[in-house]
Amino acid sequence: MRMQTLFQRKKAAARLDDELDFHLEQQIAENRATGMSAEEARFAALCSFGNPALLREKTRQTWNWNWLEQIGREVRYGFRTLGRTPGFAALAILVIALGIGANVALFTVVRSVLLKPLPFKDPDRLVMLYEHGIPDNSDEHAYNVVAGGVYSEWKKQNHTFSDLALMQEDSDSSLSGSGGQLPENLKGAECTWNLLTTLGVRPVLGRDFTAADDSRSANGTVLLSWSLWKRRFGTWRTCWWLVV
Amino acid sequence: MGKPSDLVQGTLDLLILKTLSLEAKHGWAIAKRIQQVSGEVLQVQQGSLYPALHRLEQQGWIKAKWMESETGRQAKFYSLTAAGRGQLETETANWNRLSAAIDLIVSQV
Repeated sequence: MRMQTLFQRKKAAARLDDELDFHLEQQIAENRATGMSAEEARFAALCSFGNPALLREKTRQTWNWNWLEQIGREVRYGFRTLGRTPGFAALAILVIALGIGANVALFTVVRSVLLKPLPFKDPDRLVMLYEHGIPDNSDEHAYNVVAGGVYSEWKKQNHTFSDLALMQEDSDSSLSGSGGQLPENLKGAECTWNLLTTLGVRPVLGRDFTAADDSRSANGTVLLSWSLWKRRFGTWRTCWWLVV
Repeated sequence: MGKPSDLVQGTLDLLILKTLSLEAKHGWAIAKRIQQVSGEVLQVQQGSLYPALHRLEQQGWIKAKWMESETGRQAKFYSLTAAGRGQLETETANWNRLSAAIDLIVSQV
């Protein structure tokens, strides 16, 4: 019954009509038995029956899923009302769309900038240190680059941080095209060997930098970003030892 | 002539369940039966009977089956389910309690 009133509403409604018709016929038959004419019997039965539309409505209200039907009806009315005033409808939809769009855009920014934690271990314990230029104490000299010597001195005297690592963004470097690939500009950064261990991340493939890489005599070593590796080296594992 | 609104709230369910406890009946027969047994005092209007029947069916207290009636026409016969029997007992007990309580007040001199 529950399923029938959900999926076969038309059939259930026809059944209800049938049921009520039967009642009416019974009443007419009874009236005729008391000696009324066919016409009189029918009229009297209809009189005692009351308002059939109202009765149908009241009965349907007892069915399950009536709320679903009502929601459906409200939605249909809504569309019909909007369809009658297309200008207003378009404007309302536009305003709501803009509102939703603006909210989504704003939230995306807020989420990535403020809410989403950095993808490192213990992101709440990470800080960035800068040197501040002394001469005129203006903002121009804020965020000064820390010299290597200063860094090693900081590292020696450090009691506050569990580790210190140095990082500096490079100016764009170019990667020449080979094998039909176009040359491209790359964003790179230089760092001390312990940057990744300080951040608590590990390269997916190959090895991390080691202390041995961090001397003047060592060869330059690079770690590629995942996207560059896939794009330019075709997920080629042997490029671990490739000399660039 | 007791209209449904004159019936104590909820007694129509009890009347229907009781009427159906003997045998399966269609709506018209239920109304007739209530009318006859009550000595023509209670006349159940279609406007309350069919909503009540469908509500009871949705609640699972009665179940319906289309069968041939006495006149040979297909009619919807209602019968009591096991849950409906339990409900009938509960409502009968409630009714006895209520009518006894009302009687106590009304018959007080």
